Amino acid sequence: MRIHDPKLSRRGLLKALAAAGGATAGARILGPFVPEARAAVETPHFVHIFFNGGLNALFAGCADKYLTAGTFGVTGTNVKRLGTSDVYTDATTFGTFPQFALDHWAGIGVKHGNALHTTPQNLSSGGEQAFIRDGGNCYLTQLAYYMGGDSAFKAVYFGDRPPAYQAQPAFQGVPIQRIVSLSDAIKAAGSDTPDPNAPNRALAAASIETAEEMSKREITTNPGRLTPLTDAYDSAAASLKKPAPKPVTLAELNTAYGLNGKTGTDSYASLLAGAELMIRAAGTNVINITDFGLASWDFHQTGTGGSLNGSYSRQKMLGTGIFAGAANRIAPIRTFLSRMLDTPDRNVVVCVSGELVRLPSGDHGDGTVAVLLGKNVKQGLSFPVTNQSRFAASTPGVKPFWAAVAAALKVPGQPFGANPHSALTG
Amino acid sequence: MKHCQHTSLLATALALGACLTACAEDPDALTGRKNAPGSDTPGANPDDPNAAPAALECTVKPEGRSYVLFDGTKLEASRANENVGVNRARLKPYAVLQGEYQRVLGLVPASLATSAGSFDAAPARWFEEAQHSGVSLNAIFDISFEGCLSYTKTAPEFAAAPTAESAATVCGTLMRKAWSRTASPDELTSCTTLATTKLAAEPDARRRWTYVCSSILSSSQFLTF
Repeated sequence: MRIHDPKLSRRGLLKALAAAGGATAGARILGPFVPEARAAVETPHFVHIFFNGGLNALFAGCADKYLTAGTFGVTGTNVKRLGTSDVYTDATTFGTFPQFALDHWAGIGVKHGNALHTTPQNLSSGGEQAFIRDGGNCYLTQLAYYMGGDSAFKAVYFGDRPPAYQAQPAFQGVPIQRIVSLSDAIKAAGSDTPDPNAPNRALAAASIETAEEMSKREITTNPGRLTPLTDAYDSAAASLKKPAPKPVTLAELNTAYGLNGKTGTDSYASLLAGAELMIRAAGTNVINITDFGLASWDFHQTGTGGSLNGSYSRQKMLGTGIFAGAANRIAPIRTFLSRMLDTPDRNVVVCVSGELVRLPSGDHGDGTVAVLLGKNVKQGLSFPVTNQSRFAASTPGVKPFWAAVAAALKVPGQPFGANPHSALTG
Repeated sequence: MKHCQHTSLLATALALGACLTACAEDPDALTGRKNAPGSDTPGANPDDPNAAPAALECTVKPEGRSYVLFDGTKLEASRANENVGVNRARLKPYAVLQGEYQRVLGLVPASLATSAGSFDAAPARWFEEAQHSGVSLNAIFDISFEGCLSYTKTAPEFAAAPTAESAATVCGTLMRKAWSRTASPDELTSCTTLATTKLAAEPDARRRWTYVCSSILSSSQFLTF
């Protein structure tokens, strides 16, 4: 299956690339809108953990809404109230997150108005596309740009396909790149144990820059597939020019996340380990982690008690029941949160979401409730769903959600406009 | 009857011969790839040997039939339409790199065998063209560096540090071999500048050549078909 947008003509693409190139060049000439140096003391990082197909709002903090009717199998004994707040989540899954995460948990309602899945056949629509695309731009690369800093890998993604199933556009020269190997990522960031036979970092940078020079003509005449190579050359050389960061070893990550010595990114635990690696070794701003498979959290099944979405989701999160033998998703997320959320010199904000909430029938809602976790996040709910998983008409849309993320990250200014969730973020 | 068959064979042979002769005189004549990437005569424009190929622009109205699809749209509406010889480069998948290193260096870097995870290989039952990130490009450089270390280890031409003359010779030869085409003057200058100036801090002559070799094997011309 080839991922492409049939409505985008080659000529259109070339025009878009030319326009993007011009805009980028212009931005560089005029100077970047956001300075390289960060105003914030703590370095911000954003990690989006995405359950494609939909995350039931019961996990995101709205479990109490389903108590009375027992919707999604919610009972008085399998929910957990966070402190004295109005946040109720599933006890055996999200309820086992570290206390710091539970204390800094905001459930943010996002009414994007699209109850479809984004799929390779539906690239220009669907909840995932609505959640991460801002017209011709991508919120992930926009956020990475506005966060500033000097990381050579400002935005990356893990998983078996790009966010929303298609290559996402760079924003002001900030691309989002796929990471497929933890060992390569450590080497590229220069955080591995020095090898006397390995190339000198500065000379390797000069050699890669020369490779880019030599490739210029080829890339210029083949923009269709080779334009991203320019970003790749730039990132690789920029990373090599930086002083080596504090060591992050594969052995350490292997022990923490239980990777069984594997360095690929084909296990769920490896995705979370990769997120930690890219933050610590490369200083990456934005990391997207999408679970494997096509709409793999889309549980429509029903039983005698109604929708089985809640129980199937629990089982998949824990690798139990019909998902016995599958990877436990909660354990590595918990590990990541334990190790990274309260790091002294960093401001790590984590979003756990799907693109859709589930209706009591098990069908799709037209928005999502996203869990935001972070130092600057207060416990509570902002525009939650009703007991029918419906959003109030006043529920803000997508851009205000990203405004809340930016606020939690302490991004200067309001690049995504006003933040209607400011009571909990910012 | 037999005479007639011989006459036909002779005529066919003559026609093929004429065609082959035409191809031999100008390898790009039949494909229209003159001055295109991959052409053996880069910058065929005599006034500017570094000139890029013709702009990506449709200059002749395409001929052909129009087909209406079930939804009323036209099949040809989304057809890519641009000049021959441009926008045709495709990144080589991991599966072919072993042969490519063997072809250029005469050896395969040992680490390549365990580097499948470094490349953007498509998952099972999925088709996706290869693409590179900064991380995977760095991995390619490292793999190439390992291969080039062996490649430059004993050959006498790599015993002395690069000079302008030796760099031009080595760069030109290796680029021709790796890219299957002759480098343009600008491309050659980039390579010789690397060898003679940018790598001056490397005291070991063979390692200096190794960087040059690795740079060429990290260029898009080697990484694409």
